[in-house]
Formats: sequence, C-alpha cells, structure tokens
Amino acid sequence: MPLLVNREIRGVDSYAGPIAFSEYLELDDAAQASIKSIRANGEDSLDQLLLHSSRFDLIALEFPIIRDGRSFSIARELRVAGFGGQIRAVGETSRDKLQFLERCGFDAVELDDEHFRREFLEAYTEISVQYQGAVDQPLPIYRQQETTA
Amino acid sequence: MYIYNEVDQRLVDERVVQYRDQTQRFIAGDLSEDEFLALRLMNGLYIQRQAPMLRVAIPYGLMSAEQLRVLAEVSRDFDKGYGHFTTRTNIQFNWPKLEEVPDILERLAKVQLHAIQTSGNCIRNTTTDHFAGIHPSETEDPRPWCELIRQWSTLHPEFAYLPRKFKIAVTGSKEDRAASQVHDVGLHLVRNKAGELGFEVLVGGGLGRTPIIGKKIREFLPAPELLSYLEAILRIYNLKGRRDNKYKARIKILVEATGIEAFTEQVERHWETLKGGELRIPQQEIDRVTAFFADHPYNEDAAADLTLDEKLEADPDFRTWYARNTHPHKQPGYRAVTVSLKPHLGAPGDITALQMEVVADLSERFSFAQIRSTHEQNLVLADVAQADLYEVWQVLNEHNLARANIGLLTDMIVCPGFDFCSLANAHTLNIAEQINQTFEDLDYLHDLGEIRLNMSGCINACGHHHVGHIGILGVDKKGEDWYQITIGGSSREDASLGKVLGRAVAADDVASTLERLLETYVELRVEGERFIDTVRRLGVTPFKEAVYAVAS
Repeated sequence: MPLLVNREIRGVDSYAGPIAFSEYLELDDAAQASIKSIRANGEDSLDQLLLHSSRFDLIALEFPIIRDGRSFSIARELRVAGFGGQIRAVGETSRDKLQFLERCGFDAVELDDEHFRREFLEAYTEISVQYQGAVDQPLPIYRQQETTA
Repeated sequence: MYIYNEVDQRLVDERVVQYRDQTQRFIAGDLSEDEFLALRLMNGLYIQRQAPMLRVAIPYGLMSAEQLRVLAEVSRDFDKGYGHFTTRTNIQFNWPKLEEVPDILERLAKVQLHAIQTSGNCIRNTTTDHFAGIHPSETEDPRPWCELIRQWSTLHPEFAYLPRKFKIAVTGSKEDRAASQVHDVGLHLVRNKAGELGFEVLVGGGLGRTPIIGKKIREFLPAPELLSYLEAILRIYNLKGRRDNKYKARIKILVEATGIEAFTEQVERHWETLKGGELRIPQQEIDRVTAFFADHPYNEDAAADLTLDEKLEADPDFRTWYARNTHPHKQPGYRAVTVSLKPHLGAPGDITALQMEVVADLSERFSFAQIRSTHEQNLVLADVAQADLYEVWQVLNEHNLARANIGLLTDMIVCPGFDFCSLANAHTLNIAEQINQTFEDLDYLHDLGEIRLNMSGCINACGHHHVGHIGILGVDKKGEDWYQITIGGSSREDASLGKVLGRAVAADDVASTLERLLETYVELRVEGERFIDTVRRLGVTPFKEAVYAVAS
C-alpha cells in the first residue's frame, strides 16, 4: 500500500494506526493528551474535530466508499481553521482523486491500489487550470489574474 | 457570448487528455468498473440500454453556429446522424462507442465544447431563461452570472463527490422560463430599493420521486457574493446531505429534514465566514464577463420594414407560425424565433445533423450566429429582424422545423423513455406519437390554447411531469406500461405540483383520456381561460369525474 506524502512515494510510515476520533472523545483528559493522531470521517462532529484538532500531528480522513466526498470538505475546514499537521486520505482513494485531494488540503494519501505505478504522480499536474480558490491556491481564477497583472 | 481565453481552452484540452487516459486505463483493466463509473459520469457518459450515451454541455443553453455545426459533425461521424436536446438544455448522443468518446471530446474541445459535469453527483450545467438578454420585461441579463457559476463549478475539487447531482437555474425576469423553483438552487436577479443588483435565492426545489417547490433562503444576496453564498450552501450540503439512500440524497430532502429556518441559519452562519473574502467577485471581473453578452449590433431601422405585415396578410400559414413560434424582443423590429423540435411524428427534442446545419446557417444569416436551446427541448434564434422572418420560416418549414405548436399541447417535454434509457420503467415516444396522431388538427390545438404537457418514463422525472399543466408518468405494472396523469402543475413563476387525476390508464388509452380531459376543459372554461387556470379554479374533481365516468 503506497503512501504519498507531498507527492512523494514513502516506503516506511511513522503512522501508528490512529484510533477513531469517536473513541478518542471517550477517553479521559490524560489519555486524550497522549494521542497525537486520529482518524475521522463524515459521521464525526466537525465542530468537535475542529475544537480538538490543534492537539494532533496527523488526522486521517476516511473515504468509506468511492461516492462519499465529505472528507474533501472536512479537510478544507481543518486547513482554514489553521490545522498544520498531516491530513491523510485513507480508504477509497484513487489516482483520479489525487489532485482534488491536494487542492482540498490533503498532503498525504494512502493508495490501496494493486495497479499503483510511479506514473500515478502525473495526476497532480493533469489539469493546470484552477477556476476556484481552494487550500492550495486560495485565489479564484479572477483574482489569480489580478495578482499576475 | 462568452469566448474562451487561453486559460479556459487549456482546461478543456487538458480534460480531454485526462479522460482519454482514464478510458485507456479502463479498457486495459487498470481501472475498476466502479471507479470508472464515477469518472465517466462526471464526463457525461452513461451506459444505456442500447449503447453508451454521451451528454454534451450547452452552458446555459447558448451556442454558436460553429458549435452547432460541430455537433452535427459529431452526430454524423460518431453516431447515427441525430442528437437529442434535454431539459437541462444539453444535447445527448445515443450511439457513441465508449472507446471513441475521447475523440469526440477532442473534436468538441476545438470549438469550446465539453461534456464536463453533465452527469454524476456534481454541479451540473446551469440553466437560464431562453430569452435572456432580449426579453422586453427583463430586469437584468442572467447569462454573465451563469458563466461565472460555470467557471466556479467546473472541476470544483470539493464538490465532485456530492451526495447527489446539483442543479442551478438563474432568471433575470419576473417571469420564470427556467423552472427555477424546481431546482436545487434557484437564483432570481433582482434590484433592491437602493437599486443594487442581487439575487433572491431559493433552495431545495426538485422533481424526482419527491417533488418539492424551492424555498426562499435569502431575500437579497448582493450579486458579488453569489459564489461565496453558493459555496456555503454546497459545503453544508456536502457535509450533511444523506448518503445512505440515493433517493433521499438531494438537497431538498436535507432542507425538509432540517427545516428551512434551521438550514438557513446553518448556511448564513457559514457564509459569515466567507463573505467579503476571496470569493467575492470583483467588479472588474463582473464587467469582463458581462461585456461578452453585450447587445448585438441591431439594425436601428428594423421596425420600419413593411414587408412583414404584407406577408402576414398574404400567407395564413406564416401568420399562424408567427403568432405561435415568434416572441417579443426588446429591440423594435426584432423577434425571437422558436425552432420547433416537436414535429408531427418524431421524438420530441430530436434533431438530425442536417437540421442542425440548417439552423446553424439560418443563425449566421439572420441571428448573429447564435442559437439557444430551451429546457422545453426546442431551439431559439433569438435576434431575427422582422423583415427576415418570412425567409426564416420558409427554410424552417422546408426542414420540418416550423410546426406552429410552441406552447401548445404537442409542444411536449418528453424524456427518451424505455427505448433508450436504462432507468425508465415505461416507453414515452410511442405515447408522444399517439398524442400527436390524436391531436393532429391544428385549429383544435390552437383553440385549446396554452398547455404544457410533460411526460416522464419513470419516477426520476427527467420529463418534468410534476410541473406540466398535464403530466404523464409512465409506470410498470407487472411488465406492462401504464400511465398516471396529473393536472395543474406549473414550472413558471406560479410554480405548482400537479395533482393525480385518478387511476393510471393503459398505454392505448392515454390519448383518449386526454381527449376527455380536454373536452371537459372546453366545457368548463370561461372566455379566454387557459387550461391550467380552469384546473386551478375548479380543482381536480370535475375533471376526474368526467374522465373516469365512461369506464365506471
């Protein structure tokens, strides 16, 4: 299972199999304080996640099925709130989501793909035009032109 | 109309390459069915009953003569020589080969056309009034705002995997020709007391198995904040819309479940964090996009023409067509012409390659080389000088595009139904034909007056049956096609959902049922009263009693 971090393939992972955010919330304060990474998804309370996020180094956001796109918005909200740790996409990720994931603030992706090839990285640059602002490029197209003008 | 700059062009070009690669990986077995499904859908490709179906976007229904010619070319080279216009003002090709789709897209990209987000659970083609920019009573031209929405929504990284599809309609007039109240978001351009431009915003309208009229979420949204507000709505929807059941995944269900007050509060609270930020559209950008939709160089003396009156006097067929298929224009001496894609016997909304070329030619000669597609599945030549109308009519007539039935019973909105669509439960095209055969007499049709007949082959309601004055829904009963009839629906400014007339009727009885229904209307109407108004005045009961009396 390849792990991409900032568009680079990582062999070894420091990821310690984080606990679910829902389980984390049930721990007492002392136990919570020792937790540095968690995994969350669209079923978790986004408000709670934002509240606790500054304690974590890594938040793994799940894509439970291909069609579930909630984690795109969750990542965006975390970055806008100032979360500076790693946001990792796990679950039903794919080559064809890489660019959207990065644009929404994911800097890491686990690709559970038997067909994985180095060429997958080309996905990041397939579309060079970004009409809308997002985490990677906060300015929408009309303000990008303003800046370059 | 909007013309791509280098950046816009680069996006569609890169998209073609990207999609070609996705197709190749799928064919090579590197991409699973499920993954490719999501990708091809976002690119307008369905796998249908007979073959794949490719839906090409006509952004807000506006296209150039050159684009229409390429659509004709595509239908000839890659399909069976025809296309089908849809209620989202897009065009569908029913017979392309999956492996040839990248080549089709490449051909389309050369004339600034694409199939991006014409299906799938993402933001779809924005639709608008087909008389935008030319109607005498318009407040403001909605098309620049449609284009701004098009750009913002195209490949939006956050909203490509929404709970379900998302459709936006924009109007700029008190009259609603875009069915905006049955859209996920309906936007009405208005001016406030201070004279500033903004939008009245509706949310949560829709058809399908749970038809709902949209609810007002904001009375007045300052126009430059359009995209920040849409983003707030979409983000709440993406996070909170249901994903456990595709029939309950549209935003209308979320709005109903949350309650419009609570939903409004969530959106407004989130919008507070966005407004005034990067998404606020600078005046410079509004001006840039608006400039593309400036008035054509009209002939100021067009109204001085005397030939129109002579031709109207001399030719009764032309006179009938003029009364039914042409419409007022803000510029004196000009009319908008509806090209009827509802011929006597032919699938509503279908158009052959030759017809596309004929319309493209006419637009170049007489209507500033632009064509519009309508959600009622017709085309419009929006800017024809009155002196040219006779010739336009003659050419259209010669090519079976001038049936004088716009707004009448036979100007039906009809989905392709069971003949093509894998979702459909029942056929629709045979019923449309049956209705055409029964109601052949033009004088009778004209006497019946304005009637919007909408037909869908299944509960998904692509044919907008709930908002037809008369709605027909095909249902499957033990392997047989049956049809449920509703009356009293409207998608206009007075939007309403039709009420069921009575038990479903067998396929052979649809037209005869309509005959009894309309005979009842003729008996009950007061002078000058439209069908829909009679139904509204009297309710369903007298119609029901009259229609079903025979059988019981």
